[in-house]
Amino acid sequence: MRVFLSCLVCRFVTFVLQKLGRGATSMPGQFALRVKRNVLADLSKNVKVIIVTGTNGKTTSCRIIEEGLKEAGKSYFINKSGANLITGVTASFIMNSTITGKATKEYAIVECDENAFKEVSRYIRADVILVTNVFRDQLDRYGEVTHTLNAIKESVKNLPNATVCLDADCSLTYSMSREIPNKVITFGVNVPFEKDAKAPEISDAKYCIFCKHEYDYTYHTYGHLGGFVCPKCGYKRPDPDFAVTSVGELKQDHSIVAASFAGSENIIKINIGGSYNVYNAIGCAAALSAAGIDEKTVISALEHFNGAFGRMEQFDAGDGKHKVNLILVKNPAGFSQTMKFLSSIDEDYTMILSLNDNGADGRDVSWIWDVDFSDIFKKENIKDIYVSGKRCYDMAIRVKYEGSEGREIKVIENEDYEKLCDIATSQGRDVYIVPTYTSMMTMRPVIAKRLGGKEFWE
Amino acid sequence: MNIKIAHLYPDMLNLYGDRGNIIALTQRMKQRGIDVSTDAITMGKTFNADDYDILFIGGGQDFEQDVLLDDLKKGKDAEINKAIQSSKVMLAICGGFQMLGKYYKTYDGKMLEYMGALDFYTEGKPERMIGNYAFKTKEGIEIVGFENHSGRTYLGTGVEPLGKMIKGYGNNGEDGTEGVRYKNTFGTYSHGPILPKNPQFADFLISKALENKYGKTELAPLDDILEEKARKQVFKLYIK
Ligand SMILES: [Zn+2]
Repeated sequence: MRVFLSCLVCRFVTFVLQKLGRGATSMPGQFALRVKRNVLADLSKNVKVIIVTGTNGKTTSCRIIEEGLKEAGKSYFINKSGANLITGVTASFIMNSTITGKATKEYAIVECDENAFKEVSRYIRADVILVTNVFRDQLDRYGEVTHTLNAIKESVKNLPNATVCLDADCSLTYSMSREIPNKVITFGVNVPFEKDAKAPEISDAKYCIFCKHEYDYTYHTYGHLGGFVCPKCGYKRPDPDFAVTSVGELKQDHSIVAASFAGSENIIKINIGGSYNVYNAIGCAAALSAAGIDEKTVISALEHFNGAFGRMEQFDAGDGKHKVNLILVKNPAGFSQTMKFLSSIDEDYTMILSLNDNGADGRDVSWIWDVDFSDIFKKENIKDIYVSGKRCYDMAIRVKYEGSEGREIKVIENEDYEKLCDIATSQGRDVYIVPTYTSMMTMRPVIAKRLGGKEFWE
Repeated sequence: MNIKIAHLYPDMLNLYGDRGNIIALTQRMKQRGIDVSTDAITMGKTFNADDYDILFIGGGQDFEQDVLLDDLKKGKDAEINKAIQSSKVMLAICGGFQMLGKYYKTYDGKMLEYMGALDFYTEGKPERMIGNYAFKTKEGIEIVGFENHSGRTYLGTGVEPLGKMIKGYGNNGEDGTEGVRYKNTFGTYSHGPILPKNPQFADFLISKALENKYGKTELAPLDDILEEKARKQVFKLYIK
């Protein structure tokens, strides 16, 4: 009875909000939870639940999994729009159930940050959990990087029946395999993306999580990811079940890799650029297989999926020739990888870096000093550099001290994204905009409105 | 002129962009024609403080601090002590700052014996003190930064605070003090890149280092327009 009531209340509030012309918020879920606290336990009973968590790559991974389910002809729903707190998750389950709480879809994809996961895992029932990686992120909210890891580990323990897909190359993520009762599937990249890739200047996991001795590496992919071995206690990267075995092409808009899926060899085109997205692809291959999707469909999904908004999203600049690209950055590892990606571009372009310091960006902007900008500004094809966002001048100083090579650092003040849009469309060349989370959330609707693109609340 | 910087534990104490400080010192000296070199003094490496003009130590995670205390006690602590007493310039941030004191007592009662180079101690509390903040040194330098610490630091009589709080918690959220200073050693909770955004303080440290080595030296002014605007942005948003 309470399930029914809870669903009813949620739907009613959603209906009212829609009439008022507002998008989905956390409000309907809040009302539903007030009526029945563990309504999620009932709602997740008859649906296959795939949870995606970890520091980087959650949203892109959800997009790939969504494409996989779609191509497999499965019905599914996904908790979108960053509404990934318990209230948002609850509301999305209710909206995909009958009024008595019976699921109307076969699959649910749930994106959770580690804090939401802690809460959600106490109520939900799950079949597959994908843990993308663990990096240092928004420290002022979450404390130490091991806190993030522990939060995920404790949450996974709440869901012992789920199959867990872990990044074998991440010494932090993989360490939980020793403590969780779950069935574990690993994924990873067996080779560096560039020949002789060196250790990063700043690593989020330099010392063994078990015995604190410094790791040796047989190779590095990015950040602390790679072939780690602890010479003291023997903790090391396992041979992953789903592995990228060689990297063919890394292009702006796609990558081609050879991969082994639990022993079977495939050549795969990944429909998005960036070496970090190779990780998202192989992680999703593991998760989709664990969810019962066949290999052929998985490969097809990787070839066809479209990037999530703000993550390597492309708009026409309006001149029929050039593109305005949006790449979200959230932490030093992701930002460094984005800079690495941009250094692989040879065409002329304008770079716009946009820094906010709201809750979801991290209140402390110090992290931009941990971003690896080495040599990017030495490339002559960066024709102009702009900074914007609430903390535009902190970004300006960061670029200045890195050495902008004589270029003037132009500042777009007052979070004026209309002006940013004017600039982005009048360059006569490609534009790469690199915003932090809340900056992206405010800027994207402005860009989408002017240059065409899906509405956010769709 | 030539200034040598020792960056202590850059591989471990590198939380919150601490290396921004080395970048700022280096750039600001190079632009004035001063040669600068930085050595990374990592775990297991010995160093002689006499070889350096500026020592820098950043903040780190608790996980890594135990490993580090063992290493410190193998001789680095004596060198750091020598540097402090001989008026070398030293900047210590957050965790590195705390380590110069006598001890850190965690809120659940665990005692961590620190270097005891300076007269202060730190006690942990569960609530962290987090936020943009500002303080003022006795020279009148206004410093803006970001603090994020659960340790409360209490100064003894042998040292002075680095500054008085304008806004924020500072050493302990009670007595309005921030950081520590003794001779030319400066400790602060302003973690991360304190120097890029506070060029006056960066130049103050550079001047002290040059004075030690070459006598009083006039520093040529630099173009700090962006830095000034960054400071104003923080002041406007968070300080007043
Ligand atoms: Zn070990």
